[in-house]
Amino acid sequence: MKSMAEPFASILLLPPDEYLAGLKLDPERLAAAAGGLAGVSEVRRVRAWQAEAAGPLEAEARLVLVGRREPLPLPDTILQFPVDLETCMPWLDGPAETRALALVRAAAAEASLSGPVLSRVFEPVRRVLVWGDGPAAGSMVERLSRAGFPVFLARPIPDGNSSESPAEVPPEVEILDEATWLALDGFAGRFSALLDAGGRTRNIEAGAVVLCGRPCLEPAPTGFDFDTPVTSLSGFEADPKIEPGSRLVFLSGPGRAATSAGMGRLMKAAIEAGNRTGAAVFLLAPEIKVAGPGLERLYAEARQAGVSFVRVPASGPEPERLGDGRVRFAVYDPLARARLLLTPDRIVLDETLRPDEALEGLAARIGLMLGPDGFAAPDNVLFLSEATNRTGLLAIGPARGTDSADGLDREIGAALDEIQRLLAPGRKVTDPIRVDIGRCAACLCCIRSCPVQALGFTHRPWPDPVACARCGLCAAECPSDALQLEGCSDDQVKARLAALMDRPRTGPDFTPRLVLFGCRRSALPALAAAPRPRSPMDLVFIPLPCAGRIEDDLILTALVKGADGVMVAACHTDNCRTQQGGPKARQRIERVGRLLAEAGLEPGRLLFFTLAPNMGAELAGRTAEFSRAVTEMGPHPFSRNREAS
Amino acid sequence: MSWALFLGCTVPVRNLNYEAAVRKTAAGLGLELADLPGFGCCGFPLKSLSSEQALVLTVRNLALAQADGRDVVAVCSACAATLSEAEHVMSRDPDLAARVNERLAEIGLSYRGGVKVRHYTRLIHEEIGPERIREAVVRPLDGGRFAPHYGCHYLKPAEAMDHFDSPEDPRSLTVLIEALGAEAVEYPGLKDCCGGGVLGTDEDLAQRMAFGKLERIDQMGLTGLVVICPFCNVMFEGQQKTMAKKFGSKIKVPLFFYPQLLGLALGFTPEELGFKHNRIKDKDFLKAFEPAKG
Amino acid sequence: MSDIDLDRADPGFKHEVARRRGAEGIKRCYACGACSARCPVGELNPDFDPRRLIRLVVLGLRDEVLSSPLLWVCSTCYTCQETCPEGVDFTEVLFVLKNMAVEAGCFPPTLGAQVELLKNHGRLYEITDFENEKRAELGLPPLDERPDDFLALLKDFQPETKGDA
Repeated sequence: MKSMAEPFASILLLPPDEYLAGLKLDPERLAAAAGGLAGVSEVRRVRAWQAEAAGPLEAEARLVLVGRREPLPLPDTILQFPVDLETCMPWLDGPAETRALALVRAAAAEASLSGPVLSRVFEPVRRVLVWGDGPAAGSMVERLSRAGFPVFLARPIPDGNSSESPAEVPPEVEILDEATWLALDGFAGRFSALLDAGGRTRNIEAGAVVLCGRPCLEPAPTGFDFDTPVTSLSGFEADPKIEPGSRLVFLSGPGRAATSAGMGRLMKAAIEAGNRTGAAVFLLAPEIKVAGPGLERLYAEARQAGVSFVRVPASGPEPERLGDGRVRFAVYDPLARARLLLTPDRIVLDETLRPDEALEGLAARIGLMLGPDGFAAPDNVLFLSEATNRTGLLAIGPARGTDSADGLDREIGAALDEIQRLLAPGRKVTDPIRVDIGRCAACLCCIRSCPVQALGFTHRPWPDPVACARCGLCAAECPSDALQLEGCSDDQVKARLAALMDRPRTGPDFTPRLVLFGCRRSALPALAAAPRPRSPMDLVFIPLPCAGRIEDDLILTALVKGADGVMVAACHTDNCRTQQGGPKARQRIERVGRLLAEAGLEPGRLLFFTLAPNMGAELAGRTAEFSRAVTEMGPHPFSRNREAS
Repeated sequence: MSWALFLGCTVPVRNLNYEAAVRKTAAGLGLELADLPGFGCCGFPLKSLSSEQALVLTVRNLALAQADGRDVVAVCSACAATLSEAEHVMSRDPDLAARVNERLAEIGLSYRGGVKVRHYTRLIHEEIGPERIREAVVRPLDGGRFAPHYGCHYLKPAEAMDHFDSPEDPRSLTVLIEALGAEAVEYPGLKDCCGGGVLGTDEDLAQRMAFGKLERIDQMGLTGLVVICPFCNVMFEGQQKTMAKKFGSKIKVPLFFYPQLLGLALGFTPEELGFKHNRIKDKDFLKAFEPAKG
Repeated sequence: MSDIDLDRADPGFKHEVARRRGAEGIKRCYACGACSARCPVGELNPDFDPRRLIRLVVLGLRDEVLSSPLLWVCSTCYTCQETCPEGVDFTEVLFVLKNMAVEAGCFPPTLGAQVELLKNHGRLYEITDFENEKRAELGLPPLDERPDDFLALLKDFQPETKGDA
C-alpha cells in the first residue's frame, strides 16, 4: 500500500475523436500532450462511455475521465476525476488546446494528490426505534415489521391533549411506555439511544430512529372575544348540534390557511351541516384547497349540499362587535361585487397540527434541528419527506406537521426506503475525511460545525462514514487544517487553481481572469446550462461539495495566483443541504474583503451570491456584470508593483 | 320522403323571400315539403314566462307532425331549437311527458316522442350535402365573397341537436356556401350573437350587439352577409339603416338568406326567390342572375 | 352594489331553484367565470354578469334576483351554457328564474302582450287577407289562423305584473 505522501499516477481516458473534434481539439495532439503530463501513467482511448470501456483496472486505480461530467459506475475504491470540457471550456480564454490541456492537467494533479482509499465492510444494527403514538406511529411500526426489521416503539408520556387512542402494534414489537429522550449517541447504523421510561433508564441499540410524535390539533388563534359561540372542528364533529334556520360559519384560518387534509375535514363537516334542512352554512377561507385525493369531489358535494364558499383575506373576515356582544363579519365578495355582512349564530374553527410539546425538549437532547414552526424538520426542500439534519434520524407525520393521509403514506414509504438503504447489510464504506492527528489540537470546532452530527471524538475526531455528508464544512472550519476532505483537500483545490491559472494571458486588451468557487449542486448545473458568454471572458471554475467548504486561504490563494476577481456561489439557504454552507461562505468572503480593504485593495473584487441549479441565465448575467466591474478596477491586486500582464 | 314544413310566426308574414327561396330550392333539390295547416307558434316567446306552458304549445306541433307521420323541418332557428329541445326532453323525462300529454289531451292530441326536427340548412347539409349541391349548380357564384352568420339557435344547445355541428368551430353553412362556387369568409366575430333575443326588452343593447358585428363585416368589403334565421335578418337587415343613423356610421351590407343564394346558383331568378323583399341588396351582383331579355 | 345583508337572505332559495326543471345544475357552479367572460351582453353591459347572478342565488337573495331587470336582457345565445365546464346550464337557469319572477309578478309588460296575441291568433303576427295577398304574389300558399287550441291551452294562463319590472 502506498504511503499518503507519495502522489498516485492515473490512467487518462480520452473520449471518441468526433467528440474532441466537436470542441475544436486535435485528438492526436491532445493525446500526446496529455500523455506527457506529470501524474499520468497511461492514455487510453474510449469508444463509448461504459464501465467496460475503461479497460482492465487495479482495485485502487485512479481515472481521469476527459470529456465527462459524472463518474462511471465503478466500485468506490476506484477514484475518478471527470474533466467537464463542455461546461468549463467556453468560459476560459485562449486557444482551445491550451484550455483543454489546463483542465486535464488540473484533474491529473487532483488525482495524484488523492489519498489511498480505505474501505471496509459495515454491518449496521437492523433494529429501528420508533418514537410516537397514534395512527402514524402505528402504520410506521407495522410497515417496518412487515419489511422484516425488528422494531422498538417508544411511546411518549400521554399529555391529555392528543385525542388519539394508542396505536395497535404487531405482537413482536417491543414497547416502551412513558418514554422521554435523554440522549442519542452514535451514528446511522449504530445509534445508542438513551431513554427514560417511568423512572428507569433504558439503552437501546438501533440502526435508525423514526420520530412520529403524536397528532396534536389546535384551532386557529382568532383573538375573538365575542359572545357568539365558537367551537373547534373536533368539538363540532363530536357533537354536530345545529339549530334549524341558524347561520353556521366554518372559519378557516385566520392567518393560517388550512392544509388539504384540514380542508377535507372542514368540507365534510360543512356538508353534514348543509344537508340538514334550514341552516344557512358558510365556509370562509382564504383559499379552497382541492389538490388532494377526494377533495374535488367533496367540494362539489359541499356545493350541492348548499354550502356557500366565501373567500376571506388571509387575515380573516373583518369582525365587528354588535350591541349584544355578538360578532358580525364583513367580507368583500368579488363574485357578488358587494360587501357581504354576516352574523353567525355559531362559528366552527378549523384545526391544524401543532408541534408535539415533547419535541422542543428532545430536539436539544438529540441534536435535532427544528424548523421555524417548531416541527422536526427545517423548511428545506432537500429535507422533504423524511429527512432531518441528522443522518439516520427520520421524522414523519405529526412530528413533521403532516396531517393528510396521502402525505403520511408518502412519508412512510420514503422512510422505509431510506432505512432499507442505510441498513443494507454488508455495505462497503470508505472514509470520507483524512485526519492528521499531529495537527489536531482537540478544539472540537469540527464537531460543533458538522451539520449532520457525523463526527465522534475519543482522542481525535472520528468522522462516521455512513452519516458523513461529505460537505467539507468541518475541514473548512478546522483552524489547523487537520481535517481534509477526500477529493477536495486544500492541496487538491490549490493544485487545480495552479493548473488552471497557468495559462498565458491573451492580449492586447485586458480580460479579467475570474475564479468562481461554486457549489456542485447549484453552480455546476447552472454553469452547464448558462448561455455562452458573448463578450471576452476568462472564468476558472472550482467546484466544491458545498459552498461552506470555502476557506479564507483558498480565496487568497486564488488572488495570489493571478485572479483579478473571485466569486463564491452557494445554494439558496433553504435549498442548502447543510443549511449553513451559504452563510459560512458569506462570512468568510466578507472577512477576506475586510483584509483586502485594510491592505488598500478593492474589496469589490470579491462577490458572494446564492443561486438555484436552474439559474443559468442569472449566473451568466452576474458573471458578465462582475467581469465588467473588475475590468474597471484593472489587473489583479497583487500585480500593483509589477507590470500589468 | 317528405318533411312537414314548420314556418313559425315571423317568416310567413315578414320574410316571404326566405319562404319562397326555401320552397323553390327544396323543389329544385328534390326535397318534398308538406304544409300542415294546424302548425302554430312554436312556443318560444312564452318560455320566459312559463317553460311548461311553452312546452305544451311546442309539443302540440310535434303531436300534429306525428299524427301526420312526418318529421319536421323548420326555417326559423328559434323554432328549430325550441322544437328540438322539446323532443329532447319529452323523450327523456317520462313524468314531464305525462304532464304535457295530460294537457294536450284537452285538445285531443298526444305525443309519444320520436319526431326528428331539423333546421332547413341542416336538412340540406345532411340530406343533400355539398358535393351533390356542387353538381346541381348551374350558375356558380364565382367571385362572390360572403360572411356566414350561423346565429345562436341553429347550433345551440348542441345537446338537443345531436351535436350535428360544432358551436366552437361550425362548418355546415360554410361548406354549403362554398359548394355554390363562392368564398365563405372566416372572420372574427363569426360566432357572435345578433342580439335579436333582447330586442324586445332592451333595443339599445340589441342594436349595439348587432351593429358591432355589422360594422366589422362592412369593413371587409364582401358581397354580402348570409343568414338563416328571421331574427338575425331583423337585426342585420331590418335595423341596418336605423342603426347606421343612430351610431353615425355609413355602412352597406347586403343580406341574403342562404336558400336565396342557393336558389340563384341552382338557376332560379331573383324574382322567384323574392329578392324584391330584400331591403338591402347589391343590384349589380343580382344583375348577373336576371333572366336574359328578349 | 351596496352591502348585502346575509342575515336577511334565504338559504333555501338555491335549493328551490335547483328543484325546478332546467335549473338542476345551478349548485354545481364554482365561479370559474368562463360564462361571464364570453357573454356578449356582458361585454356591452357589465352589470349583466352570469356568474354574479348565480352567486346572488346561491347566497339566497331571492327578492334582489327575482325583481332584477337584468334577468330580461339575456339574448339566449347559449354561449354560457356551452362553455360552462360544470354543466350549470345557465341559459336554462335563467329561464327558470324568469318563470319564478313572473310567478312573483315581476316581468316586462311587453311580454305579457304576447300571451294575448297567441290566444287571439295562435301566432305572434296576425294573418289577414292582406298577408295572404302578399303571399300569393310570390306563389306562396295561403295561411289561416287556428287559435282555438291556443285559447284552450292558455285559458288559465294570465301572468300579472305587480309593478314595473
